[in-house]
Amino acid sequence: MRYKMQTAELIWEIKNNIEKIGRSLKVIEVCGTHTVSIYKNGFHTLFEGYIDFISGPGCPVCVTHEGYIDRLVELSSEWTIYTFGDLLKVPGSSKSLSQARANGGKIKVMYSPVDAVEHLENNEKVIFAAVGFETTAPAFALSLEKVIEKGLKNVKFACELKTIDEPLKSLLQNHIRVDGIILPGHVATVIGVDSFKFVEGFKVASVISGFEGYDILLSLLSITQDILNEDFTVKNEYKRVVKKEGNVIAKGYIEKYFERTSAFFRGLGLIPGGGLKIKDEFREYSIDMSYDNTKQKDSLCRCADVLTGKIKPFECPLFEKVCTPISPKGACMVSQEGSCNAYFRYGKWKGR
Amino acid sequence: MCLGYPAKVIEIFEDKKALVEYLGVKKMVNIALLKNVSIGDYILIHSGIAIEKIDQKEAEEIEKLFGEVQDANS
Ligand code: SF4
Ligand code: SF4
Repeated sequence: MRYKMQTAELIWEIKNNIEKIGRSLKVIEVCGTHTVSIYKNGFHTLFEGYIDFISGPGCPVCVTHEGYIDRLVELSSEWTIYTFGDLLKVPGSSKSLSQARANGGKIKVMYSPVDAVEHLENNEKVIFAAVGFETTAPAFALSLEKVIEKGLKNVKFACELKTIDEPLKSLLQNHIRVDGIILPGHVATVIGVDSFKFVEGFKVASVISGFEGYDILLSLLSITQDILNEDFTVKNEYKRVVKKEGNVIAKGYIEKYFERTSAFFRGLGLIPGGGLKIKDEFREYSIDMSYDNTKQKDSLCRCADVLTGKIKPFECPLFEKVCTPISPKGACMVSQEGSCNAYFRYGKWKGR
Repeated sequence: MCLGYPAKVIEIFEDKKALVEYLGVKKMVNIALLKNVSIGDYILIHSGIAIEKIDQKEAEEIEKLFGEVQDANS
């Protein structure tokens, strides 16, 4: 009961702060798990008129280009593709991986890339679909190390790993004006608070947040207080996990095996330094994934506009009508952490 | 794709592995990215790998507050 009061008080205080600021705020979250937490807890309704929530390009599945999927589909006739389950339904320009599998493509779902390597046979021809941000990059670095240790000769990585800083910069510079940013707690766990210092230059209130409803409220409180105080230093609300310098061992693994490259982001386009590729000295473990990122599926899907905060999912003409989690037309509906998917599932709170 | 979850360390093995428990489910995870993991520690798991230790005191404080948000706004 006491805690319920505290939650209610917290909500009251956030609203009170916003009234003092004197206008409604635009707050963006870039992590898909935050997106889900916001909609699941009904915060977009609770703060209607106070906070406009925008879901940025944080879920690695949502920003994956059709061309990458096409290339995996092509390779799956010859190689066994190991992928995270979420990637299965992302539409390529003609097929998704799950459709390719139905047509005989060799595709396996993995939960952990390190585990998967431990169970491989010496002569298995395997490609790991390496997607994700700095949170999953260490897992792929560790699995690459295991592949080398085990002397596996037929294992390659289709590296499409992303970094968080460059796309965030591009988003803030070119696409959107926001008052506050909820920064991704798991990415921050790996790269540390200090890696987000660059956000301060944009003069927006920012906070690294945990994922429970209560964490989000604490983060919103922090954002509103910072706006009132014109304090643009990065705050860390997820202190129970995130350290100033991050996880040094994990960062070391990333640096050992990967280097920066440019990467394509749905909605944001090609971003220099936005991706990670396998270093040249380990090039034998990498498979060429170059694809034409200008060729896009001819579709009415508006993921790109959703990811840059131009529209809300329900403003897409396909939303709920032809595009649903069972039959997704775009990546934002595929991933459990995609904004269209979150809107679809928790729509009963929709303030539209 | 990338849900992280907190789990308690039950047993530690060679080769940087640990048996952890989360909501009654036991699982083997890799702990190569952490230093000094002990039995009883809480760790954050992401794609089968422990990415950080969780500060237990702070976690408990927050944990008490979990779940209350939904009640408060329903
Ligand atoms: S990788 Fe981590 S931080 Fe990024 S969307 Fe997934 S859960 Fe959020
Ligand atoms: S509702 Fe479907 S088609 Fe529309 S933007 Fe979202 S994923 Fe794309």
